[in-house]
Amino acid sequence: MVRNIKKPLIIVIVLVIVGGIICFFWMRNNSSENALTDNTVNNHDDLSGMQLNILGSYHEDMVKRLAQMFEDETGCNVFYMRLPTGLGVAKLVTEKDNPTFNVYIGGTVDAHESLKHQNILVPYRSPVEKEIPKEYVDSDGVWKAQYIETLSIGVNTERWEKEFYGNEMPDTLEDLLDPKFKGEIVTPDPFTSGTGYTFLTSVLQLMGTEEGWKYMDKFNDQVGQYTASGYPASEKVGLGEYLICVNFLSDQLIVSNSGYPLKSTVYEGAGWSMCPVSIVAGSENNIVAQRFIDFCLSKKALDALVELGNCVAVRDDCIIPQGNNKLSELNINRNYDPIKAAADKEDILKKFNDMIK
Amino acid sequence: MNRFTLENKPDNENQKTLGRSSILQFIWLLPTLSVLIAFLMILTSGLPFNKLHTIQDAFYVQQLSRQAVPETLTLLDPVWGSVIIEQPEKVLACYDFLTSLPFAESGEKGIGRIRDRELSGTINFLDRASIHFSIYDSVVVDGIAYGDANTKLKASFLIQDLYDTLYTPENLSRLIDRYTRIVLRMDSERINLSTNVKKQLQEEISSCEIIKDNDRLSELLQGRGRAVCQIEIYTNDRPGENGSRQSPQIYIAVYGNGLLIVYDVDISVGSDMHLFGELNSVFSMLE
Repeated sequence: MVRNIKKPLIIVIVLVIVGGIICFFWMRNNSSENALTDNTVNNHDDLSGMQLNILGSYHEDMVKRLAQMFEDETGCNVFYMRLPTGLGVAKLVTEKDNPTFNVYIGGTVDAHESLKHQNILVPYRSPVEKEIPKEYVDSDGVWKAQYIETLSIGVNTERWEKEFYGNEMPDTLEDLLDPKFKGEIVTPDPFTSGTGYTFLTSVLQLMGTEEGWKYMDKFNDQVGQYTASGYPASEKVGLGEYLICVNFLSDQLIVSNSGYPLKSTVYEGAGWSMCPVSIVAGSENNIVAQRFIDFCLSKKALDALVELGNCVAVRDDCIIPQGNNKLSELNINRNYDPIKAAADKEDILKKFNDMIK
Repeated sequence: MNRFTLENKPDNENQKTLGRSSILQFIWLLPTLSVLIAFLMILTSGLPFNKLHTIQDAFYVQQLSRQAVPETLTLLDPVWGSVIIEQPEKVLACYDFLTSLPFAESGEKGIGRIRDRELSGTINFLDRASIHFSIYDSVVVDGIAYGDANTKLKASFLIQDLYDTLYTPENLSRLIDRYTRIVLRMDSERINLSTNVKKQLQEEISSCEIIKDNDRLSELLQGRGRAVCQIEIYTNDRPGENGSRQSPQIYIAVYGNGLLIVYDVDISVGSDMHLFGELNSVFSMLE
């Protein structure tokens, strides 16, 4: 009798256990599928717990603001380091096999071009890039410009009135070679600064290689100090340490809008550059890096850069910088080719090094 | 065969046989288990677990509980002065960074300086000697240089976090003391501020609000116009080499909408702090 009851009972127990196991695995599989779907959706709204390392060659406040805005928007942890363009490139080249950074922002376009050819920066097609003019997006899909910079001559007006009253202020490249300005010009170093390299290469493209180098040789004699980054040159002239600076207009406008006596003139044939953002090799599939690039091309990110840096954003719907123009109204020297400047960089810097020795 | 036999016996007989054999097995197992338990008891008797120990020396107990626990971090910047950091996460981050540094690699030549101005500091412990460090070309801890290729990067991340504690309205106001030359500059005019005005300015700056909210900052930056004047802080008032012109170490651009933008000239490319407040002492002079 007992045996008769026991047998079906064992069968029932076995069936319950087997059924339970099947149910367990089915539910588990189903929930992991749901979690995967949720995660894919959340990737666009919430990146909390993830990390992004930014190498930036913009002004420190600009890099910091973009980092903070992105951190607030996505919840991910953002670390940044600011280096001038030349040093930023050297850092990325040194770390080629073991990169620390996910994205490189700022610096001039020649730096991004050079890194692209070394496979240190990689393509990423951002859904936001169609909102900006295509001439400011790399055709290989690597870099995307955020803003445009134009070179300018800056003069401390207060010192000018005291020391050169009645004279015309310099507004051409030739004017800068006047012996009375010897030692009174401050400009960024082409080795460390993208601004400095843009000046050097734009002179060579404008005057031709031979005449250009002759000019640079004479100009070098006039320079009192080379700065590591572009911006400090305008600060030094605004504060009266030097009389004249040659660097980007936006940097000069920061100083003059702060109330310092600095007058800017975009000289004839002035070089210009784009300041892009790119993804560093190794992070091409990193969702945080991709999201950051999308964010960098948005109106709010570009407006934030214009507010701090007085630069001309590549989006025409951005705010107008104080004392500068909108992109569509910008009068830049179209004969200057920043991509060619990137291709010639190594040879030009080598020759410049020989010249200043 | 055996199974077949069992199945052919009546049910109650089978059960009896099974019960007997399992009791016998248990009886045989008992001595073995007892020996094993006794052996384990002997083995663990010497260990301190599950026993109450009393340490008579209260001082020693205190020492044990406090050993190597970082308590505070004192930072010293030659321009901004010193600040004591007590937030545990910041103190621990600095302690972890310093204690995880590898020895300096010989011939290691990094790219660029970590900072253009030396930042030094001390980590204070509850009960052990403090650690002194400085960050400039390299990281030096208690007189020994440490670091490899990654150290500059890690140090840079750390500094970026620590500097928020130095760049505050309170620290800025402390720089405006009677020993510091403060110049108010409007266009080409410069006025050295008197002690009383400096005192008033100090109070006004310390009560300024630091702007961190992005929307608020955007609103203030877009509505700022051109600066009304600048306040220049000369913390190093010695004449420059070869009679060169001297620049302020810090300047504040003052705007009509209440925005103040602070620039740390020596070490920063761009601004360092955005404040909002009313500087009546300055505006009364401008009038």
